[in-house]
Amino acid sequence: MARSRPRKRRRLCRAGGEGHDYLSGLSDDILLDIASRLATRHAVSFSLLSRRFRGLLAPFVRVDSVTVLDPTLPLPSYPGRHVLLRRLVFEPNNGFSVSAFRRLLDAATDRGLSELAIHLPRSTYLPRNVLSIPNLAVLSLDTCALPRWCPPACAHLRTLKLHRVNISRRMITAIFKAVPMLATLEMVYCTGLVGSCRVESSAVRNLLFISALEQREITLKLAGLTTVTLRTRSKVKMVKIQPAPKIRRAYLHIARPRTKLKFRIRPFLDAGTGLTCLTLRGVAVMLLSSEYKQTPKLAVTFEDLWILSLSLDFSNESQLCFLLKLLESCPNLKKLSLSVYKYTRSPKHFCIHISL
Amino acid sequence: MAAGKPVVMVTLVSSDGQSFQLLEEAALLSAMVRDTIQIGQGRGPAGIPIRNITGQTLSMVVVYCNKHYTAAAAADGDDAADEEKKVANKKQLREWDEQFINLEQDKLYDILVAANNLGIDGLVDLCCWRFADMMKGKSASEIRVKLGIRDDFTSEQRAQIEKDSPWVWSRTT
Repeated sequence: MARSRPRKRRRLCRAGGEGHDYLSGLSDDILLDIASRLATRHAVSFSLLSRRFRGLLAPFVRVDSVTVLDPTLPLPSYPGRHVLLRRLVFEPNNGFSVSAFRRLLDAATDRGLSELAIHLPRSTYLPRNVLSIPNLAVLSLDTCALPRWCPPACAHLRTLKLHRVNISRRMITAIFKAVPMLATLEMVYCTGLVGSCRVESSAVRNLLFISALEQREITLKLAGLTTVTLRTRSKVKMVKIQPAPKIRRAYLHIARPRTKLKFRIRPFLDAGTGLTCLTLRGVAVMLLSSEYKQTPKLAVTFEDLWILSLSLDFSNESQLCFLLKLLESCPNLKKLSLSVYKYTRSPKHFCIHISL
Repeated sequence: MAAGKPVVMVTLVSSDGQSFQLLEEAALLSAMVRDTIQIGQGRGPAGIPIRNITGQTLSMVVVYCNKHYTAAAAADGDDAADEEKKVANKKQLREWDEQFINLEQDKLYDILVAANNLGIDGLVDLCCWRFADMMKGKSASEIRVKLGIRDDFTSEQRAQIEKDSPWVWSRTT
């Protein structure tokens, strides 16, 4: 009698559902047998099929975060149970085997890894599968080098942090193509971009960009930006920022260039009518004051601008003029900070903070 | 087949009346046939009736049993053969298995149910492997479409799932 049960169940399912059900009719031990052959992340989607499968596979073990120093050691496991891993931190103290790290990444991928942080003691090439973790949402790399070509296949990535990473221009372009939903991007001292860097994406909302020492040209085409932090170094020759109409907070620190700097901030500022917080450091005010020299009044009013922080040279008449023009177009300003910027070797620091 | 042993055949009769003859040793791969023969039945010309399994499915099962019996007999035959050859034979058999089981879900389901009823562990394993292989890399909704499973979650359960594993849900919707 027991032997004929699966068949009967199948008939019942056929009568109830619209299609042919090829799985629900099987007995529990067979279904568990099938599930035990799946990697954890596939077993999770198996458990999401229907209520019965969820009940069958409910006892997943969830591990929140694992820090690995030696890639040859195994990930935590429980006999006979699927273990899900959310976050993996890889911080070896000294050299490590790249192939062992590759296998570790594969094992973590099979457990549904969604956050990966890698911090190496000195810049070393990462394995090629570092960008092919399909569930990855957050990736932060610190002091490492991406292989010249590793296929990016993490379409659900939201946050990408690259600190002191050697990355080729081709890889940057490939990543933006493969990651349509990237919202937060940090590029701090990224080398390997052969003098110029171009970041182009309409999804990125938050950007932190600090150029590497040897970077000459920076092009940022990010129409959906809401927060931007940009810091250039003295060797930068050209900066291009596409106007972002949704911008809310901007911090621009433009270092004094060694040679002539080509950078027009005005179109960016004119489009940023929704700004709530604006900080201009370095020579940014100097650049803007020369751009607005011919205009008696700013074309736009920053209705929402509450916090304004500027560093400028008080002995320069045109910079003071620009300050007045800017203050005129910020009717709702609540807080103003001013600091002195001079090109002397030991700048005299003094700040004024005004709360309105 | 060793020369000294008498050749005993067993007949299996499917639910739709088709009968299949095979060597008793091959049929003994099935726990159910083993039980039936142990209690002294099934050796007669009437054969062993297999309920709920159609001729089409049973013919596949018989092919599997014959292949695995001959492979096992060949391995037994040359005991002294070197390890390398054994490994090669095993690999060959595995390849044959994969070829054999490369079926669509309806036939696969029938064979899995039949193997389970007949108690052929190797074939059950093979079918489970193939089912798992079919699901690999697919999202839950894709599996549902392929295998015809109805989504019967309530909205609260959905919310719980979304909380537990948001990344999986984002792939399924």
